[in-house]
Amino acid sequence: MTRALLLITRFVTGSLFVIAGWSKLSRPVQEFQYVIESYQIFPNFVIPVMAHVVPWVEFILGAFLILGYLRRLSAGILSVLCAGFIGLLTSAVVRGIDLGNCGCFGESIHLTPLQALGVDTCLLIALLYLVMNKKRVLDLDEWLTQP
Amino acid sequence: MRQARYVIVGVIIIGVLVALVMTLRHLYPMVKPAEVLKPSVEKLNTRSKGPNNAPIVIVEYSDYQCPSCRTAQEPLHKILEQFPGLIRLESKSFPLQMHRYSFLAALAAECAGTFGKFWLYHELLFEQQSEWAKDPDAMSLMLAYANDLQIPIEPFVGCLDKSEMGVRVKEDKRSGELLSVNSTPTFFINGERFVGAKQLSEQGTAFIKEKLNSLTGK
Repeated sequence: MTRALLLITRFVTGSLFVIAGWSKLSRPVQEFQYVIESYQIFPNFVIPVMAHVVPWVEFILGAFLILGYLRRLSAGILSVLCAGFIGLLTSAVVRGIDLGNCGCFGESIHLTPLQALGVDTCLLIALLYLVMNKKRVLDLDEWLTQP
Repeated sequence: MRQARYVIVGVIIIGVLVALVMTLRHLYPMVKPAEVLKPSVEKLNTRSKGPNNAPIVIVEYSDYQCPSCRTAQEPLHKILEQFPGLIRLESKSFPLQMHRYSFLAALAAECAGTFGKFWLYHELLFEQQSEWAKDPDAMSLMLAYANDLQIPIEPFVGCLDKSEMGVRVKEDKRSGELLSVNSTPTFFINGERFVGAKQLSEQGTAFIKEKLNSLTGK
């Protein structure tokens, strides 16, 4: 039962990050830059860097989770990212910034900031479960640590 | 040994993922702005202003009901004032579905254009956005604006009913969709994309300066 849950959690969270990353990578980078700007929180020089780096981090670490490569580390980094998203969304909601679409999944899935907060909280819980659970099920880590 | 194995596998996975993204981007490329924007630039319709042979061409995709588009008018005007005679501005409608009256506003601006008053109407729509966007009878306000600009009302109403005008607005939107325009306002300055007022005023201005410097050989 735990093995199945671990496997499903890994695949679902990994897939969501791969989709989130790809939906941004497949569109002009200025679009995601505009989304980051609309949160009105980051200094100007950081925004273009974030717009280029965040989608790749989501895409690659999401794939790592699916494959079970450095699973706990990948889930750890993604949970930090996810906590950051939650902080950002909360601050936008508190400051009353009208975002319309949170921009989390580019254009593939439209979520309001409140909906995105719900999704990100669930994702964070799932990621923390993946960080804390030391069991290995059909993952590359299992194969790579074999003598 | 185990560490080396980890590193090698990691490098292979990242390599495959990067190659996958690059291949997909190559197989499904984004349309180049020049391919879509060229014909309308040549047409020089009523919705453009500035010299025909200007070295800088700004194409603006906007939605009259979008607050960010209204905000972007100020930096846009500043840019036009900063580089007089060097910029041609072309306006294209990109009415978003989430805005109830943006299609009607685009249609009205298009019709004002047939009376040679596109830009005046365009400015008025942005200036009065908070008024008509919230009014349940936006149509009456559109007619009132036309009246303020001394556009004859009957032909104006007749124009709003013409399917040809709707087709023009839809053509604009389609061209934006081909260019992967998703947010408004989106600007193409000599084919380079800038989304929103901030990118326009900061990176857009720098880009124009750079282009003009390269043209004058500075």
